[in-house]
Amino acid sequence: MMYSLIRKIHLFSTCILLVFIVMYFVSGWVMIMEGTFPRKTVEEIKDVKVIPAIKNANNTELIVLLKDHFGVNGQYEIRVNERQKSVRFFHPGINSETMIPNNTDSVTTTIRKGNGITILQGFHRLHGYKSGWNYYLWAFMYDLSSLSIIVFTLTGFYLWYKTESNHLTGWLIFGAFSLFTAFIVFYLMILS
Amino acid sequence: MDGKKEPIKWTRLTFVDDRLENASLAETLRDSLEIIGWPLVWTYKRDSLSFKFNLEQPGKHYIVSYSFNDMTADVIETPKGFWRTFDSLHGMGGSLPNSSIMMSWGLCTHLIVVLVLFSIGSGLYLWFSSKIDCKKAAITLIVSVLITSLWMFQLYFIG
Repeated sequence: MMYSLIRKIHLFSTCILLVFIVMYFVSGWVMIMEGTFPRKTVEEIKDVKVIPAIKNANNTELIVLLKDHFGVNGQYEIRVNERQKSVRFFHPGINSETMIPNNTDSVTTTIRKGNGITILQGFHRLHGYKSGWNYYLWAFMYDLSSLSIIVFTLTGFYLWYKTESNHLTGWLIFGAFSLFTAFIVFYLMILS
Repeated sequence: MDGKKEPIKWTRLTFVDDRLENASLAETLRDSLEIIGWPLVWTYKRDSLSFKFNLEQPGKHYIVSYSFNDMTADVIETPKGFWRTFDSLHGMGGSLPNSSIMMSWGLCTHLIVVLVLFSIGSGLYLWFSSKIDCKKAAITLIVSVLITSLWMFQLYFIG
């Protein structure tokens, strides 16, 4: 009964989250190999528009105005300082930055489009419960994928233990990699 | 819990050529002090008497102040504690200046990526070969791959 349940959890969680997990591992590998697979901006567009209503707009209105006037989209972040507001929109492979000075209606937006590696990295880095249901759902799937890696490990461990009669090789490999990780942490904290 | 320790201060007499530019000077100092890690470019501060910079590695943070007159380097070494060190292993490709040991971590990371992708592929193959829950799993897999792929296209093209 227990074995059958664990087996089902292991199989169906893999089937549901397969694309996410493959994407995180492939893009993560590309990220640690950044020297070989560099990020590049392939297109940069700068646009200046006069939007009189923008000065008095609150944050929600500001986002709508920028989407309407510049066609920008994605997860956003608003920063305010004494001289200007800046709004950054981001979705995988494309990011934009809009500068809204306090003393003029002239608004400048720079849109940058990245190469394939930038898109992959964008998916890997996309996180945070903000900017609408689409991104909330993504953040949830991101958390779920992280959790599933732990679930796969534990359920896989259980299934291996139940189905294999000889555990020695498995224990040796598990022990070797655990000791190696512990050694690396010890080395970085103490020995280096 | 975190095991973070207080900063440790130490001093070492060492000679470096003051004609070197900032980046080379920081790297030469790091090497002569036998520290591993990356000098942080934006922390370089230099005048005619001294050169100061910060240096980072996964387990420790350093502030190095070098006096050209005394030829001494004052170092403040701050351990980051267990969780920050452990966390920094995520995304650590094995390239850490002055540390050949970390190359093995990089190799291990490459191996793990290959093994995980192989495990997913072979795991699915073995499951479908066993014919248990095969139909339900195949439908779940196809639907989830389709939905996730379409969602990624939507995020890229529309945002």
